[in-house]
Amino acid sequence: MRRTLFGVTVAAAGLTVLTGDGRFHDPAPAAPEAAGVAVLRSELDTMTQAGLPPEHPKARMLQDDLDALERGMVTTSPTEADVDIPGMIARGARAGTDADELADDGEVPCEPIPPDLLTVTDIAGATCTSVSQPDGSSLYTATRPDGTEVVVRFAPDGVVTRQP
Amino acid sequence: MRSALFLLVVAGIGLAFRVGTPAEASTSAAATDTSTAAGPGVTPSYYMASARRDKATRLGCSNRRTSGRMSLFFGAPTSVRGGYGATLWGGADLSTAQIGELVKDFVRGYAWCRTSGQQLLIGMGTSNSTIDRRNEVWIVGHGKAWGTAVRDVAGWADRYYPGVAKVYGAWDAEPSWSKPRNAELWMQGYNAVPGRRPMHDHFSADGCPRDKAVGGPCNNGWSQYHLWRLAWQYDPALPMPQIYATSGVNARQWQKIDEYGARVHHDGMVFPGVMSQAAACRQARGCARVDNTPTQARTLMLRYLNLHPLTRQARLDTVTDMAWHR
Repeated sequence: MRRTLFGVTVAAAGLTVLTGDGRFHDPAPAAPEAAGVAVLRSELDTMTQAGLPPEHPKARMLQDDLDALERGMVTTSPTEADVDIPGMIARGARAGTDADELADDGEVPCEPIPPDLLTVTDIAGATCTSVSQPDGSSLYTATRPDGTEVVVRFAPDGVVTRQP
Repeated sequence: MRSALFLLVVAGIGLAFRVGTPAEASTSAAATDTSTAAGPGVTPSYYMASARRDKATRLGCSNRRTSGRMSLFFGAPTSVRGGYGATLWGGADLSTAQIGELVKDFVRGYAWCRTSGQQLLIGMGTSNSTIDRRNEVWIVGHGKAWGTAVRDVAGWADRYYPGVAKVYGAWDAEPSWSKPRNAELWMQGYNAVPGRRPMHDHFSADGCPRDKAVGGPCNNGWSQYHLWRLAWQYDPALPMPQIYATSGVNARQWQKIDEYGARVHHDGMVFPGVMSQAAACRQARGCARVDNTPTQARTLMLRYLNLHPLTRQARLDTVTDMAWHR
């Protein structure tokens, strides 16, 4: 009885260790057709069908990645020390409504903002600023040579809009 | 018996802690989940406009159900404290090393929260915008710095998360954003890095021919030749072009670029995937006629590729759909 209980305990502890580092939730993909190895294998098949030889540099690079990913699925890898992943996720969840101390606040090099919110035509000859706001958003403003402005607002929830 | 009970209690505590934490993270992440993966081979990709590492970790967690190729874009190349980096648009400019840390945080969050055997092939990306304001030495240097940073992050992922993620380069290069020579110089820098990683080439084909495959002109001095060369001829290049236009014109343009490569250089392209921007368009409250869904982008690209025997391709494994991360 003691041996059985000990065995259950060790098994449970082992499961904890395996899942505790965030890399061993499952020993094998649940949906192999959607996993990275399947994508790489399919890409290689497509290249072969198109006539690329296996020694083609692109095919070689993808084959190397496929081999490494498959090896990695059965490899015990080291755990990163002093990295608090759940803590970072929790802090990331709280962030977003405060002013972002890591946002630009002043003049910036003008660049296009997709999807066509700020185009190369908008920024031709313009000067640009990005100014963070107390609500966590920031306003990216392109001032054209004629003085007209185009303003794009980056909201903390991911909405990015060109202001009227 | 006492020792066995002690072990049982310790194991139980450990299980409760480990099982509980990612579930909580997953629940909280759902509120702003921008992962739009829908259907096989569809992944989200992101314009990374936040320099916050905890938010990158959370974004990785929110992608816990995603498998396949995706890209994270960090804005235009720029100088950061005398070195190289990228702008992150309205986010703080970061060095290539700092951007590498954000990618690592994304991978950490993903690895922590994934619930099954999902695996990511993640592109760490910049663009060719603003590089015309730089000299040639700087542009080549930036390409080298980017290639080195990508390689280093890939090495880190291979060490700590070897069955979870592979890291690639990514490049949003558009003819209207720089002269072709400067894009070529950047690619030369990237390609010169020993051990450089393959790169997701998410190019547009602004102004390129839609009916001819003779090396014809595109916008800003580019031609079909430049796009074929940068998106395919360089060994690291994995072409995953932007197929945004609902009219199908982007797919027509890329079929002609592929046909040009096959006819003139006897080296036709193979596309691992394409890019759409439906999620970014929703965030921007609409885009006119350039908001293909991932399914539409895939269908259009395959339809045009399979119109000609020189460009025939059976499938596109990935459609990745752009969204903003802020």
